[in-house]
Amino acid sequence: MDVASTSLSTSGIVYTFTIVRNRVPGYSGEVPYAFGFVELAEGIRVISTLIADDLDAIAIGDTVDLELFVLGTGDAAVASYRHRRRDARP
Amino acid sequence: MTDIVVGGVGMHPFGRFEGKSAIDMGCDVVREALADAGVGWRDVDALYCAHMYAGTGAGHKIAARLGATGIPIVNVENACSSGTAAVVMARDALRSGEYRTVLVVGIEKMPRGFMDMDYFDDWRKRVGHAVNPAQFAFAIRRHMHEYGTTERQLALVAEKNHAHSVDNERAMYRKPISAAEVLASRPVVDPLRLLMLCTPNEGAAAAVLHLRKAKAGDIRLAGHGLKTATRAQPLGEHMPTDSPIGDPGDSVTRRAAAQAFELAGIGPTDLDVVELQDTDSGTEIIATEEIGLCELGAGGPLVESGATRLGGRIPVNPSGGLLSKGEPVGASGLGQVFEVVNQLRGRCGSRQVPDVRWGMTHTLGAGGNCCVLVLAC
Repeated sequence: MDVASTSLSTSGIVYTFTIVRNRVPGYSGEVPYAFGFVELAEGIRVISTLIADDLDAIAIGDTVDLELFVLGTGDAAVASYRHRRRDARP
Repeated sequence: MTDIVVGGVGMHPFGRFEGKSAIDMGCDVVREALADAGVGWRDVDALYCAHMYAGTGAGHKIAARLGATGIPIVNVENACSSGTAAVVMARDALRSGEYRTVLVVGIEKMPRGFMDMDYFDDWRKRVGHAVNPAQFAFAIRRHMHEYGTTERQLALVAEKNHAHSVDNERAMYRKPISAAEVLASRPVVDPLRLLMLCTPNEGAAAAVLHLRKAKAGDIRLAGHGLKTATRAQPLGEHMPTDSPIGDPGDSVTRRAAAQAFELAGIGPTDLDVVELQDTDSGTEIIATEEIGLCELGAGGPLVESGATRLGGRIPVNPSGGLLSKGEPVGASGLGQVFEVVNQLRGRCGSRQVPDVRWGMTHTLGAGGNCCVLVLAC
């Protein structure tokens, strides 16, 4: 099977998600936080952190937009991606 | 035609046991299972030892305590399905014709709190994506969206399993807990609350398997299915980090159960009792559907109807399940085998299901492991 790199959409739809309210081993970010599966038009779902002004307002079907970010500093820094909830609904 | 006969079982209580090692508990349950089977350590032709946390050569350390007889020993790690996967390996070893008696032991001693999930890449741990109960939350949130499963139905699973455990002296939690208390417990990974999640803890369990023609009263391993999730299955304990959109195909539980039913020559309506993977209330609801105890999407109404309670049409987790016992991952599957074997023998006292002829165990773990066993008498 041939394998090739392809670009994915920078926006997607929330397929499912949770809000984590406990400390998690190895994680240095803020608690609570949301993460879940985002559906992309290319036919794939990816796990991503979900950002919203109000975590409790996140719902399946929400439109979300990609952001890149760095968590931590110095040797502990890790580059990753997340999706922000688009508050202005069409 | 020979059978795979479960000659004896043993189980250390699941809970917290300061000063007692996983090896100590393993030796206890091996002695109990051997005595139950009426055989000695020197009758054992091979040993499989299931665990995730017990370090190098755990089965070898148990054997060294009981007498280093020189038998083959294999340690088995298969996440939450470690213990029952080891049963399938023992079954295969017996079917090879090389052995007559094989011992399977599962042991575990886990720290408190969320499991440290080294299953995921290190960067995912650091950004907070390595949270195994979150995966259960993903599955049940989607189930609620598609089928209208309610929070109250999730709470009823916990209420039922805690009601079952009150007389189980080997369970960690034996207090009745009402659905209202479950709904009042704090959210941990929405929509799952604290009392909808099982506790990682400590314990051990064992089973002695023989290759022989079953006699009247013998418990037979009549069917088994050991499978892993496919890439098409979008959610579940295989903990995917990405998945294709499209036909999800049959879930791993559905495929493992289908094989076990086919080998046993029965279907879901023939089952009298089921012990299944209630790592959380949502996984129990989804598993009851995928095993075939009800239609897809009907697992919430099934628990609400009382059908899965003791006294109902098909009691599920009469031991109290993992929600009451806790889940020492290497031992939990063999803990299910202990319960179902004793249900088949009519030894379960106040939680005995009447006239049990067919029982099932179901475990599901990281990587998408699923192991289903059908036991019969």
